[in-house]
Amino acid sequence: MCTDTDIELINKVKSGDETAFSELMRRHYRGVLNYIYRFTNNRETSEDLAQEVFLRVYRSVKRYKPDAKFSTWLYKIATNVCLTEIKSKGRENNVSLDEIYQSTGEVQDQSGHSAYDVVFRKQVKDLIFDALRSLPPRERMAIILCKYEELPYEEVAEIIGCTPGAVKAYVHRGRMKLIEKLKPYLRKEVKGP
Amino acid sequence: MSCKDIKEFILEYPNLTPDQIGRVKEHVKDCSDCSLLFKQSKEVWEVLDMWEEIEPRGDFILRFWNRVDKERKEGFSLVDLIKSLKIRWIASVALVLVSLIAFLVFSFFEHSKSDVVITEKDIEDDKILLELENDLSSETLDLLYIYGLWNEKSEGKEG
Repeated sequence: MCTDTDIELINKVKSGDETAFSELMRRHYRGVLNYIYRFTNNRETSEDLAQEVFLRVYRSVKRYKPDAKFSTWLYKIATNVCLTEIKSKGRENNVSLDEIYQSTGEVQDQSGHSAYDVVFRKQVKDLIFDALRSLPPRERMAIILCKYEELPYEEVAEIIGCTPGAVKAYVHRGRMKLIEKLKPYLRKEVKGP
Repeated sequence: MSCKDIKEFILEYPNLTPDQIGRVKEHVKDCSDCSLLFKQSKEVWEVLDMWEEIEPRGDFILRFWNRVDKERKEGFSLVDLIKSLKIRWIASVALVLVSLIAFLVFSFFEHSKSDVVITEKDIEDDKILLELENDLSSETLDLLYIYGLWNEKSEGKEG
């Protein structure tokens, strides 16, 4: 197992070591893939875009200066790729929140039936994707990076290009909007006798 | 603590210290609005966890290097050439603009040259115009000879 830090690997890549780049991909591919997946909700597209991200990193690796963490730089590139994709694709694969609500009912209604589980998981995924997609880009990015990538506000701020305070505000605002969007699917208040 | 402060904690959940969690729990006992918000905010965050991660395909590294090889085989593009010359982007833009202007100027002159087709009718028209011009010139000369310059004439009259 390789114990080099990301920066050490980058330096090796700069001097022409391709195996070092493979190691960097091994470490970060899953994270980048899933980050993109939250934006596209499509596995094939996410795989292609993740490859595109690493291709851009590989092409510009000589320009990388270790002022920021490698992962910050990587997610910055991934964010740009995602935003370009969102702009070019518009609102494809649109799943209406109301449609899902009508067909699925509430989250609490899930049964243990396996076929139902598959459909249910797909619908929940689409539901969350749709709710996240309805947020303004910065709120969406902030929530995805904080919630799914578990990055601290400081790092998210560097990726998005704002202050940590602004990231916190984006997350809070986005969370409030998600509550409104997903309210119909939350467990109802159980009233006492 | 005020509802506003508690709301901030609620929206940070679960990234709270035990002390902050204690304060939230204490507050929501007596505040139905914050209690509802706490419940919904917590649940929404949990619902997001239901969107499961995907596993990368096993051959992603291989596919990546294949793509790199393919790009290398396709050879240098103009962009790569500019990059390899280490020209800054401003210089690149200037180069592209100069090339574009040169192309437009060249094509404009080429176009105007190629468009001019002189027919026999044009030559005849030219001759007629030339004759007319000569006639007018000789007529003007005659008039000048007879009457002199307009200024001289009018000045003479006045004098």
